[in-house]
Order: sequence, then C-alpha cells, then structure tokens
Amino acid sequence: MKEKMKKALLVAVAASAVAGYFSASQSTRRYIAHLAKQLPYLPYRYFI
Amino acid sequence: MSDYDAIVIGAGLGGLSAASILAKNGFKTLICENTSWVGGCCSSMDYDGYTFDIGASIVELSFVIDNLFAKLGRKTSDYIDFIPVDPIYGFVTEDGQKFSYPVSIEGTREVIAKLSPEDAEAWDRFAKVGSEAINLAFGQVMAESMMSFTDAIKSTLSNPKLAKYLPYMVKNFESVLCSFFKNDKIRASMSLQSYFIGLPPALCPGYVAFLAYSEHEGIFYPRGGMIQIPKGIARAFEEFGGEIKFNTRVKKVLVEGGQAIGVELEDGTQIRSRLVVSNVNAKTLYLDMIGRENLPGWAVRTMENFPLSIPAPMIMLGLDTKPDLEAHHTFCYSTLEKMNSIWFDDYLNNRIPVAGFMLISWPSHADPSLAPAGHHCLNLVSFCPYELADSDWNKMREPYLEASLDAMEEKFHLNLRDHITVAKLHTPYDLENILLLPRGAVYGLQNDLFCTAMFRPRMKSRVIKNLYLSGASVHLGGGVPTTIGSGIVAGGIIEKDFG
Repeated sequence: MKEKMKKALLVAVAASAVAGYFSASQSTRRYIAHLAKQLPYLPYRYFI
Repeated sequence: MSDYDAIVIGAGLGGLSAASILAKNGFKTLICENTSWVGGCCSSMDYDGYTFDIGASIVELSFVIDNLFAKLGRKTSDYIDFIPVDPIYGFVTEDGQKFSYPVSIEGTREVIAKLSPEDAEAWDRFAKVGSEAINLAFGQVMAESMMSFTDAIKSTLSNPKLAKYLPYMVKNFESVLCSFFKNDKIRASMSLQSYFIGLPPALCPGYVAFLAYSEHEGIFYPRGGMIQIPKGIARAFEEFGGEIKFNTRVKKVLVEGGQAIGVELEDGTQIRSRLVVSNVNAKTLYLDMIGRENLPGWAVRTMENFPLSIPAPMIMLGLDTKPDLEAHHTFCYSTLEKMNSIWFDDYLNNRIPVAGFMLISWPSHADPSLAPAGHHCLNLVSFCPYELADSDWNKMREPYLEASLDAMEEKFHLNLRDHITVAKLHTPYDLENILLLPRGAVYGLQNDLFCTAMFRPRMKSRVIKNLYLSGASVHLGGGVPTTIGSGIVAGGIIEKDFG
C-alpha cells in the first residue's frame, strides 16, 4: 500500500511538472530547458 | 625556497585587486602579465591619436571600487578621475523613434510616461524594488565568496532581506521585466543589461534585471579611458612594493603533491611561490596551465563541460566629426524577442546576428581628450559566435566591418562613412590571441544560474592546494565591479589562510 502511494505521488509530481512546463511561457520553457541540460554537471561544479 | 609569497597570473581587474590587497598586507607579490599593459578586458589602446577602449565601456556599482581603495587605505579619487555620465542610454527604435534615459529617476519616469503612460507607475515600483535589491541584498552577495551552501545559508541568515529577493534569482530576466512593464519598447530598453553578462533575456538570471535600475545610482567614465581603472589599482599595488612583469606569459602552474608551488613561464623560467592566484579563464587555468595530469578525471570533465560566455567583437572608429548621438551608449533593439533571437536564432546556429551590431559606445562624449581636437571615437559592440557556419572570422573581417557600417547608417541613421579616419575590428580570434580569452569569451564562463556562486569555480581551489582564483570565471562573473569584487574576496580568503 505504502509503495503504491509512493508511486502515485511520484507520478503526480512528474505530471504536474510536465503540465507546469507546457503551460509556462516560451521564455520560461527556454529557461527551464537551458538549466535542465546542465543539471547533471551541478554536483561536480560544486566541488571544483 | 620561494621567490615570492604570491604570484598572480594576469593583470586584469580581479588579479590586480587581489594582488594589491596582498601587497598591502606584506605579501611579496608578483603579477605575470601576458601583454604589455594592465586591465585585460577593461583596458584601452592608442591608435593614430585616438584612445579606444577594448572591452568594458562604463562603470556602474562604483562603490565596489571605493571599497577596494578603502581596504588599501587609499581614496579612489587620488587614483582615478571619474566623470559622471548622463544620460545613461540613448535608444533608436525600428520606427526611427529616439529617446534617452537620464540618470535621474524622475527624469526617466517622464520619458517612460511619454512612451507608455501605464509603465510610469511600473518604473516607480521597479526602481523601489531595484534599490532595495541592489543595496540591501545583492550588494552584500557581491562581497562574499559564496563557495558553498554553507556560505549561502550564512549570508541569508545574516541578511534576512536577501530571502525576500530570492525569487528574482530563480526567475529569468525576461519574466522579471515582464512582471513590471507592459510596453515592449520599454521592456526592450531595459533588456540590454542581460548581455552585459553575456546572456539573452530568456536565459539570464532575474536579479540582473535590476542593473537597469542600478545605473540610475550613477554611472561613470574614467578620464583617459577605461584603462585608467586598472592603472590606478596597479599604481597602488606598486606603492605597496608589488612587482608587475609585462610580456610574461605563464605556461604552467607548477604543482607538487597536489599543491601549487609557482609558475613556469613560456621561456622555461620557473618562479616559486607560497601560493598562486589565477586571473585567467578557469578553463585555461585547469585544463592547460595545471594540466589534466594533475587533476582527477571528474575535475577534467567538469571543466571541459563548463560553457564559455559569448564573444563580443568590437569595432573601433575614429571620426573627424561629432556623431549625432545623445548618450554615452546608444542601443537599437526594439523587442525582447529580437534580443532573444540574437542567441536562439543566430548564436546557437553559428551565424553573425542578421540584425547587425546592437550598441554604440561614445567615450569621447564624456572625455574629449580621447580623440584629437574636433574628432571623436566610437565603439560598435555586438555578440557573435566564435565559429561561423559558412565562413570564419579571418574571411569575415572586411565583410563584417562593411555590414556594420551599413547597419550604423540604416538603424542608427548615422551617415559617418566619409568621416571615418580609423577603423579597427577586434574579432573573437583577436580577443583570444591578444587577451587569451578562450574562444573570445569576454565574460569568462557562462553566467547563468547553474554557473553562479557555488556552481562556479571556487575562489579557493578544492582540487589544487594553495591555488586561488579571481576574475570573470569565479563568483560573480564578468564586469568591472564584479571582477574587482572577486579580487577583494580572493585577497581576503588568502589573508585568512596565510595572514
């Protein structure tokens, strides 16, 4: 039951993120997309 | 045995600022400068009787310079003669309309009210928020190292007002402008500042939007050209016993046991020191001067993946007449979308912006001594890619110059071709060769949110001991006050570590 709740919550968060992204202005979408591309590098940048 | 306490690589503003603080505190300090002058991107060159600036064109947030001289126990006015500049910007819109913003907040309100009455009240709000944001919040951030989450949390706790403005750090520049102003011309007229850190309004962090306000607290031009700022700092540095070696290119930072122990020059000379401060681009420092062999694999990949900032080629024109302009800076883009298209349609596709250059700087308006009597000098500034899809900058030198002169006539309505006595172009290749800016990146590394503060290379290196960084590659990025601020902070960190 707990696992199912967790999954449902994750799906809800992901769905609202996607919905938020597509309902945002083109400017905000560009901004988010630009930053999202750099997410994988952040942990390393923090330590350089 | 060390030859010096500190060796600083590069006499740019950050390096000079850090070096002067160290020299003041008794460190035996040497600056190795690749060129025969000081200042890096904040400098000037003499051509045929004209003095042309070769990078920065104005000073805002001048309190940072005062802070530096105060730390040195000196007064700015004894070293640099600043001329107040007013109006701040002139604009030429596509429909030929001309207007300019004076320094006065009320005067600017009147100009805005004529163009868009509903935005006059928005300007009042923008100025109020901008004043608080710059003076109570971000001004403090500029004076801190911001090397870790702990630094950020400490900074916010010590200045709770900062928390109020955090949303402006998360939003983009364009959203912040649009949340205040309705008219596209007004929005566009406040958008130039995003390119002052090398990004379009859509990708620039929102807090930068308040630079459009900060300029109304006063902007200044140093008499004698922008080089007078680094010259003033260099004079103070030498008064404290500091030494500058010109035409001295550092090839390597000497590393022993994971620790910086000096530098090796291009001619093979090795100079030892207790610590090294780098004011060169952090990619050049880590990947070329430190060398991959001295770095862990993750650090090499991190530096390789750091995006560089956009190049800003500059045309320098000497004129035998006075140009028909109103302000120190004149700007010609008329919508936010066009500002963004420079990046999304042209820069990312390796094309020179089809709309041509964007900004004219007229330094001899503030300081006539920069040109012979009756003559003037102009700088035409644009933002272009380093690599070009169909050509390269060696082939594009003449066509680019010609196209820019055409654009000057068409967009700024300036018919000056017959009055040009000197025309020089610094392409991204020139910026790379003369100033050692990799791929012509005038603002160091890219300055977006994820390359800011603790996500920018640290002022105190974590991977190489006794190595410190200043300049455009570290917090708070490129610009006159920001790079001087980086030098002040780096100098302070070293004082703590070695003092």
